[in-house]
Amino acid sequence: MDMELWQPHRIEQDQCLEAQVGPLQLWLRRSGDEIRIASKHRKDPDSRLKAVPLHLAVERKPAGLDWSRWVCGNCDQVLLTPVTPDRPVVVRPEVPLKIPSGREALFFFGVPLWVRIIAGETTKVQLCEEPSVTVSNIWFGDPMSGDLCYSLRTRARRWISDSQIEQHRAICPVTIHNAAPVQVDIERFCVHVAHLSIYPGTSRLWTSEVQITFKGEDETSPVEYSEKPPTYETVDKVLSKPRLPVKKSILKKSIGSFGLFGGV
Amino acid sequence: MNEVLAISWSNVLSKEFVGPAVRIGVLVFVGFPLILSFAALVGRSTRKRLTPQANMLIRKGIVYFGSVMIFISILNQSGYPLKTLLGAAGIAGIAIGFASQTSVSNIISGLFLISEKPFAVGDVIQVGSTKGAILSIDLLSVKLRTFDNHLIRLPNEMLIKSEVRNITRFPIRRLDIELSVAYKENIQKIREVLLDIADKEPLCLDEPEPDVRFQNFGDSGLEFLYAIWCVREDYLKLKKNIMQQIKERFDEEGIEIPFPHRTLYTGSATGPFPIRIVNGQSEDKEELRADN
Repeated sequence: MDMELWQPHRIEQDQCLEAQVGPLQLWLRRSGDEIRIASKHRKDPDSRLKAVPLHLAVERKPAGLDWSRWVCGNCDQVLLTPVTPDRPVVVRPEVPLKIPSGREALFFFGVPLWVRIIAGETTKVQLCEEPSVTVSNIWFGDPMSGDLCYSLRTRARRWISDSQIEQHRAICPVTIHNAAPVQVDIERFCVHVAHLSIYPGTSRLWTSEVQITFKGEDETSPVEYSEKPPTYETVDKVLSKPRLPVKKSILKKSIGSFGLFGGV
Repeated sequence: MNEVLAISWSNVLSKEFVGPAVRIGVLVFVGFPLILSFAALVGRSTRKRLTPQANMLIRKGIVYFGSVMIFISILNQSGYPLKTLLGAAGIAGIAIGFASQTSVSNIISGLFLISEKPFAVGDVIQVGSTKGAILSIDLLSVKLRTFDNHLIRLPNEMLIKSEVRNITRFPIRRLDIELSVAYKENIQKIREVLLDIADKEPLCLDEPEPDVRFQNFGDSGLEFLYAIWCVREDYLKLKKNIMQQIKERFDEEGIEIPFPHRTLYTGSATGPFPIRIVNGQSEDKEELRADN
C-alpha cells in the first residue's frame, strides 16, 4: 500500500500544507514558533475513498476555517500517524449473525482511524488528534455502569476480499467463539480498540487480531488482543502502537443485547 | 501595704493555686491544639476511604467531643462541683432540647443523608423548583449553587422529607421533547424524520435507541413524545442542537407545527358556514364603519 500519507513532511515558515484522509481534510500552517491546524469533514460520498498526502496548499491562508494554534518551537517537520479511536467501538452488524454452540466465526470490520499530528524532527511534539469520520456515540452496558463507545454499523464481512479499501479505516479481524451451551445472536459486540496496534499491509491498514469467547448471556467474555500482526496480508512493521498496553486477556461483557431502557 | 501585697502574692503562688492553674493552662494550650491535630490526622488518613461528608463528620465529632472533655476537665481543675453542673445540665438539656428541636432534627437528618448517600458533593439535584450543584453537605444543611450563581441553603430535615431528584447520578440521560404537528401530517413520516434527525446527530446515542411515541390527539394537533439519549455532559448541547434541527427539518419537509386552532361548526361538521346576503344591509354596515 502507498505509505506516503504517513511519511514526515517538511514545513517552512509561513507555509500551509494540506492533506486528506478519507472525509477528513487537514490544513497545517507554520507561523513563527506556532503550528496552526484546521480541519473539515467532507460530505461528498467520493471523499471516503480518497487519500492525499501532505502537500503545499493552494491558498497560503485558507479562509473560513476554525484554526487552533500550537506552540511547538522550531518545528520544521510534521507527521501524520494513524491511531485507533479514543473510546471502545461497538460493532453492530447490519444483519445479525447466529453462531451455534461450539462454533466460531471470523469477521472483518473497518475501524475508523484518528489522525495524530506530530511536529518536530528530533524532539517530537504530539499536537492533536482528529477523527477521520464523525462517529455517533453509543452506550454499551446497563444505564448505571456501562461504557460510552463509538457506534459502528457494519456489514461485518466474513471474507476480506469483499471489503472496500479505504485509507481512513484499518481492518480489524475478530473471531467470536461460542463456548456457551446455547446459540448466540451477534447483534453487537464491543471491541476495546485502544489495545490494538496498526500495521500496514500490502493493500490496506490492519489492526491486531481480536478473539472473543462467548460464555453465556450473563457471563463476562474473555477478550484477547493479539500482539502479533495479522496474517491475512504480508505485513511489514507496526505503524502505530496501541494507546493502552495489551493485556493477555481482559474480562469484559463484550457481546450483549440490552433491553433495559424501556418504560415511559 | 507591702505586707498585704506580699500575703496576697504568697496566696496566689501557693501550691493549691499553682498546680490547678498549670494544669488548666496545659489543657487549654496543649489540649486544644492536640485535638485539632488529631482530628486533622484522622481526616487525612480516612480521606481516600470515606466520602467527604463522612470525613467531615468524623473530624467535627472528634473536635466537639474533645472540646467538651477539656471543658469538663477545666471545671474540675478549678474546683467547680461537677455534680451541680451535671444536675443543672440535665435541666438545661430539657430546656435546650425543646428550644433546639429543629436543629437536632436537622443534625439527625444530616446523619441519615450522609449514611444513605442519595447525592454527593458536585451532583446536580432538584428539590421542588430549586435546581443546582451541591457545594457542601453539612450537619445542618446542604448548600447548592444554582445555575444563575445563587447560594441556596436547604435544611437537612426538608431534604429527608421531600422528593430529591439527582440529575447527574447516572452517566446517561434521556432528553424528552414534546412535539405537536398538524392533523394533516402523516404519522409514519413524522416518525421517520425524527429518527433520521437523531441518527445524524453524533451526540445522540444510537443505543439506547431514540424513540418517537404518538401520545395524544391534542387540541391543535397530533402530539408526540420524542425521547433521545445522551451522555449527561452533552445534555444541554444536544437539546440546543436537536431543537434547531427539528425546526429546520420540519420546514424542509413542509411539516406544519400547529398553533391553537378553533373551528366553528354550524350544526353540520362538513357543511360550509351559511352566509345570507340581505340587499342593502352590507352597504349600510360599510357606511357605519366609515363613520366610526
